[in-house]
Amino acid sequence: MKPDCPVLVVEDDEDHLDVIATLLRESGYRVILARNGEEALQHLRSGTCRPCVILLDLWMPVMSGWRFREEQQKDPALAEIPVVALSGDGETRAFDATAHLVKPVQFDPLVEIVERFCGPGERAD
Amino acid sequence: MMNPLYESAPVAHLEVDLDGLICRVNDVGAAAFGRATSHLVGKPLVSLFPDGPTGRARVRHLLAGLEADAEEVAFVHGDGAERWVRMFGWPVRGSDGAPRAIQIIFLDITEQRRLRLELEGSEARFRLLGDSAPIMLWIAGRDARCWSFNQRWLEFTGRPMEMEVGDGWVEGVHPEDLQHCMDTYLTAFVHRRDFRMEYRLRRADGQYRWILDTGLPHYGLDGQFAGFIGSCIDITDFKEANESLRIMKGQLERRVKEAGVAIQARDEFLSIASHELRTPLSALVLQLAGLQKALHAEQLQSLNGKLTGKVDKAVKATARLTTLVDNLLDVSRIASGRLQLQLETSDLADVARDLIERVTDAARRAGCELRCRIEPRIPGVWDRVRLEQILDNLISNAMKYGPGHPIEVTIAAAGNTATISVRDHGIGIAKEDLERIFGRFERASTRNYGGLGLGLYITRQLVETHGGTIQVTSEPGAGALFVVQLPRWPEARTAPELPPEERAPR
Repeated sequence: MKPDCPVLVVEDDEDHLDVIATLLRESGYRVILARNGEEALQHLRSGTCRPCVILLDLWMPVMSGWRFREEQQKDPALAEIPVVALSGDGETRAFDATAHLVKPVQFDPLVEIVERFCGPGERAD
Repeated sequence: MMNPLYESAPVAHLEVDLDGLICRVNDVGAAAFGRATSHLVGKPLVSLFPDGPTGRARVRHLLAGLEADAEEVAFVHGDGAERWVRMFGWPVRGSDGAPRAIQIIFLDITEQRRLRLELEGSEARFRLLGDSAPIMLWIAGRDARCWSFNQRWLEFTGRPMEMEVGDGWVEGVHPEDLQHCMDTYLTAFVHRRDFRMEYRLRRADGQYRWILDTGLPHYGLDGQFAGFIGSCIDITDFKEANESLRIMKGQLERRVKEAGVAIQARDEFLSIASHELRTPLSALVLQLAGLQKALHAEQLQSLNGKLTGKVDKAVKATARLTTLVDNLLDVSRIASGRLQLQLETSDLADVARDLIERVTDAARRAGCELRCRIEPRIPGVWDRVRLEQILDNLISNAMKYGPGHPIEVTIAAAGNTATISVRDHGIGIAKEDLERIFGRFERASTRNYGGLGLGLYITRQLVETHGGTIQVTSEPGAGALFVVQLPRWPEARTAPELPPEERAPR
């Protein structure tokens, strides 16, 4: 059964965003895309669907991952959603996320971490 | 009859007749000779003076001349000491106008004469000293006019004394420096304060030279201001050397600054580059993973086994690329002092066993048998990720430089120190390269082994940031032995009491 909640991927790099979305969809997840923190907040606040996990890049224009995380934690309606930071920088081990995926992101850890928060994906028929 | 005025005057006075016999002498006069009046009267005046050109001869000359004179004459005082007098004589004429006697007044000038001689002597000594001094000297009077220059000064300017005295020397001062020179000089005179000034002075060869002139007020024996004495040295060479030193220092500072900016720019570039490389690399890794997954799906795999092999190779290449990017980022972090350890209690033995398991495939491919002796438990406070990186670097290095040979990995602990040794049997390292290999972008061999030559540099930085040491022993052709020693517990916790992990089994 396909999980009810989608995965929200927040990433400004189109290629990276595209491949993550494709792989997650192939693994049986619904995926919502956002190009920066602001877009992500808009998605979350439009209230259509609450994601089971947010995959969050840190270095982004308009609103960075750090600012997004701040905003998210200030909002009681959103604060509980787990956030997995996507980053190339070891310093972001200090970034306050639920979990981290260090770039380059490997396939297995990506799927494992999504499965951890969203349950197993539904195999495509 | 002696004039009563003379008798009582506070002046030594006597009268001599035409035969040269003393007729009268007043008390002051008798006292001046140090004898009783009775002892003097009736005696020839010359008898009071010793024989010789400065004594009796001068008195005779005075008497014979019958005129006012001011001779300095030596005599022997009643107390036996030699004294000097200055005598003034003039005739006493009778009513017929003919000389009748000679009046003489005299001054004891012994002390005055001594002072004068002393002064003359000191002037002579000064001149001698001045002329033999290696510096240029001048003397000015109270009126600020120079009345003497030493030999060295005259040689320097190439002008005779007559041209230099007074204000003559000013002609040699460079026109641009003249105002400042005169202001300093005259102000110092007015305030009678010492001064130091620099100005250009024309040398005999026409060249202007920089002079450092130091003037001091000087005072006469009577304590009165007598003018200035100055000493000068040619500081042109010093000034030029100083100037070129200043320029060189400026250039050096600028270059150091430029180098610093360049280094910072490079480190920033490394940091940004390694960071920016990650996102496309991540996309590539994931795309390949997707492709690999699809190919490994049964139907495609059977269709095209060759393609699978190619994708596997591409995956391997991206893994290598990832390591390089990681290394670049580490180097930029180390260079900018941003390398920070995430310290936690972890078991080095655990970390090592995990890593060995992960590199076993690669080792087999390299033809290296991994011979491991690892103590069961080696807890300590370390950055787990960095420990793994240290071990990985050492083992990867051993495989890279010693393919086809076994690698011995020994990990043990004694007290507060954990020791990691990795021995390979590869090409080894020449003695002169042993220290160099830990530098940035260095490698043991000029032969291309791939990579950026950053592994050992990063390893050493990681070890040292942990407070440890890394050493290498090797000979060309005989492999290499790397030994890393790491403190297990931070300094503050090296108490005699062991931490709980050490006492209680998990």
